[in-house]
Amino acid sequence: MTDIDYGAERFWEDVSVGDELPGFSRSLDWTEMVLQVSGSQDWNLVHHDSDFAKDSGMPGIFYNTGWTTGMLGRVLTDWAGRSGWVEKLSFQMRGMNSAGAKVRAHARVTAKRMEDSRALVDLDIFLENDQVGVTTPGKATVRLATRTTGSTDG
Amino acid sequence: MNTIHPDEYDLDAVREEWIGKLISESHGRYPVEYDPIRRHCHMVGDLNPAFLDPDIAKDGPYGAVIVPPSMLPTYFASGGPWPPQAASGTDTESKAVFSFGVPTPGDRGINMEVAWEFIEPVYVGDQLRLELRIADVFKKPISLDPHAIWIITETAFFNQHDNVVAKWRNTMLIHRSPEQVSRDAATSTGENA
Repeated sequence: MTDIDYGAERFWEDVSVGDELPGFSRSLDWTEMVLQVSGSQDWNLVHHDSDFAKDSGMPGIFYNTGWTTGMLGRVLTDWAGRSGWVEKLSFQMRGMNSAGAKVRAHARVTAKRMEDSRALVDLDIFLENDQVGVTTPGKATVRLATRTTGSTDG
Repeated sequence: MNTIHPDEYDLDAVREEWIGKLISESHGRYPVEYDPIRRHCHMVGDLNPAFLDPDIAKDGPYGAVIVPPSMLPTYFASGGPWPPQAASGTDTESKAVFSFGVPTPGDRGINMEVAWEFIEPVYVGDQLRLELRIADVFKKPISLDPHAIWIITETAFFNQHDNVVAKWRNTMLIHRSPEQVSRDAATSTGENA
């Protein structure tokens, strides 16, 4: 279950620099690992075969790019409101999210701007886990509805 | 495994041949479908009805279910997830699965950096295609492999109206396994070991 009101708008005027997006956490148990492969259809063995991952020089299996993108994307779309649109999302995979870790995905507003009538919000976005800290820093730009137009059309 | 010994690897020639090259003009085998979107959302606990519920989505700003921006459009724009491609390291031929065909000393791949630009919504029923080009190839040592090769690709995704719906810039690291590093070192002339 969720307490997110997906039908509500998030208006640009109501957002402030420094706002924290609540985000969410996931515990990377075996079920989560299977969901990762199912959801991404990424069969690279380093993401589900411990022996292969270790043969590749890794400490163990680690979660893939599709899962990482999904985690970060959800932070944004959970927050952006019904008309919000993610324009840009970039991130660096500096550390591994490995089996057994508890991962938190969250973000922070760093800037607001109007550009060609688009009401934009820039954010720093992160995955971090309880084993190594921040594994995946990134940046995003989200277009929000405005109270003037009631939509993202500018 | 058919790999290239670092002593025989000519980075300048690889860059000359591959940078700017159009690698793929793949067309999606299937149209965009509901159930892969559901599996993607299930993977990260996403319950947003804009991606999952046709009845609610039809009254939303897009008038129908759309693909979450976080769902890699490659899923629908490439050959499709079935039959699966060989996984990294399992290919006994010379196919370079994760290097996009670019010759590399190693055959183990890790994604390092991703940048997406989402331009238009993608709807269930859309037919996607992609154009993938090699943007850069360079060598940058990592602790596992002093001859690790980094490959940057740029991909544009189009819908059936030939509109660009998303752009993707990706940095892939291709490295050797520790066993291959040891094996190559044992047979090295010493020039590049």
